[in-house]
Amino acid sequence: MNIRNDQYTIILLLLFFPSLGISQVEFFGYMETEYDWMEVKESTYAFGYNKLRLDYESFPAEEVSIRGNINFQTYHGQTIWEAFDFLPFDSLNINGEAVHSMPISFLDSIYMDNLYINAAFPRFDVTLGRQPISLGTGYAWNPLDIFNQKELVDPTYEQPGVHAVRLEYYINEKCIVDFILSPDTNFTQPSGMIQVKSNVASFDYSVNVARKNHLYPFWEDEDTVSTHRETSFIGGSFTGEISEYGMWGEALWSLSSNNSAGDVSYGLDHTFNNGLYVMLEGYHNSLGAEKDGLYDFHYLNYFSGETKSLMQNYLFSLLSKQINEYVSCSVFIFGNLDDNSFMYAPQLSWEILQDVSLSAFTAFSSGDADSEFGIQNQSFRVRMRAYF
Amino acid sequence: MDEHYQKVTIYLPVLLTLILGTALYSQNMSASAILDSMTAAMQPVSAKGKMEQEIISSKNVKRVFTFEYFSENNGENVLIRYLEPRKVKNNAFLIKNNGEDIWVYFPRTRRVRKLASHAKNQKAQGSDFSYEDFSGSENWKNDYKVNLGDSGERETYLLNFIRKEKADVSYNKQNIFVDKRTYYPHRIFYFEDDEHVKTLEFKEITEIQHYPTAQRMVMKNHAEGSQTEMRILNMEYNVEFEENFFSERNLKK
Repeated sequence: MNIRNDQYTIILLLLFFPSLGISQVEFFGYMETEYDWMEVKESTYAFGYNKLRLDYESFPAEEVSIRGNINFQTYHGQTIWEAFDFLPFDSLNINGEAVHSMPISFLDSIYMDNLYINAAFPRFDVTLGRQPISLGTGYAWNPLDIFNQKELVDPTYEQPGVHAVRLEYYINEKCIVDFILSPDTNFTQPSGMIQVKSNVASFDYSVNVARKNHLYPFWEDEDTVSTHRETSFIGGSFTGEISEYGMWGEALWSLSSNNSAGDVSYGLDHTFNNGLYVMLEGYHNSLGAEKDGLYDFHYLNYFSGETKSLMQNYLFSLLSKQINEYVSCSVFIFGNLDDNSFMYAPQLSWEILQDVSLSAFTAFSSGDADSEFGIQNQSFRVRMRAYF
Repeated sequence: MDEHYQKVTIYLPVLLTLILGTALYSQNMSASAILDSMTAAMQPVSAKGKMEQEIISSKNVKRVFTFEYFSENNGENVLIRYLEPRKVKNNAFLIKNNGEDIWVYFPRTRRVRKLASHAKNQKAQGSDFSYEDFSGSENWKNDYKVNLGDSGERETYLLNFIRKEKADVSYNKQNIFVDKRTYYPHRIFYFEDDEHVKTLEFKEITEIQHYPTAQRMVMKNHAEGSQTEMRILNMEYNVEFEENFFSERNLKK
């Protein structure tokens, strides 16, 4: 059993559990079990996990809340994966040495995903600790969210907590100024964002400025050795509708004149009178590889979370329909417009009982065998979640 | 006798014209006056309470949701926060400007999303109520023309609502049967493309702070054979909310 961030967890437990003890604590959460099978490159993987998420919340004073959750996760099936099965090449040159194997292990774990305290003052709220942060208006991509990265096959799944100090200042009913500061491990290069949110007519919008230790493309500065630099960004978002068509967009772009990099997402949705929901979202990331310009480091940057996409241009679409009171079906189609590889993923969701849901998902790909999605032949997933 | 007959023949048509004219005029007046009285009776300026929502599917499967309900300005702004079941605990909706703007809050991600109005006619948490059904009573005045019909019942008026051109609402017609004594509705028929799709019945009407209040409201979905019952667990009217209560800040609490 592996305990992640053990020192941090113990410190937080020592700090916060006494305060939980003096007031009534409410526990709730869910148990989730998942079975997966996938065929990728020339290998097949059968695996799964059981996860228990125990949420708790406590209100030690009228305007103070403490919330968090502990997760217990066990894996089964194939728990050691080979990274090269997901890459279009079979070896990598690292520091002059050819590497032919990069195993990834999934270990049973207990971890505290969130633990934070929130205090409400007359004009502002302060949230301290490891907390959920979710920024932006996009569904599959959020350029403004410098703290998280989404999975395209599961974009609405909860994101890991972020260590941060957050202050939300309410200027009036319509205007919020949001300050977020997330320290890194050494407290020397924190990531931060200031967001001003408001609305005009039927549109919500935000203006954002951010600073973070960001990937700095070495191909734009041949003298530099490091691939990271403190970079300032400016961005914004909007969401609203015109003639019953919902629309949204967001962008974040660097302010550096010699390192012009950033990403943009934009989308459109509509619900027809028969209940059919249709959504389309596009994404452009200047840090991704250009068409016919894909190299090893692009994969490394993407899989390590340094960039939000492997290449530059993507499309995500979703069709969904409620079949009856408890069953809904949806089809996700997303793809890389630069290498013309796509995934087609129908999903069926069934609310079995009031607090129990079951979903089945399968995915097929198209594209060349060495393309981003073409390499993943097909997959199947069953997930059951029971809330308590 | 002749003189008397002459007077009657002269005055009777005048009198009838006056009476009928007044009656016709007062009938038109009555429709809007009844609507005003009804909205005043059924929607106090502000309210705060706890409600239970039971959804019964066409296959008789029951699900129960409990939520807190807050409203102000005669339902112009509404905040709903779910308490049960666990799956939707702390999910919340902020409905402003009589349903024109809807925001939804997901506590697991602490994310607030604005819903486009095309989602207004979709089911709220799988119930037979749509988001639009939670809109305030101003919609009846702004989006519909109203006239008085014959309810065929001694104790009720019938208000017929016909959607105005360009009004952004999903029902093209609504019929409301209004109690002549209390001006509280007995039932509402909802029509889409002239088809009677849903019926809302108001049951166990009691007074809370002098306002008639249905302790149970049953929405029957005729197209799907399902129904949703709302039950009031507690309710308080004319509540003074703090400034900016109906805002994103409170949605996330």
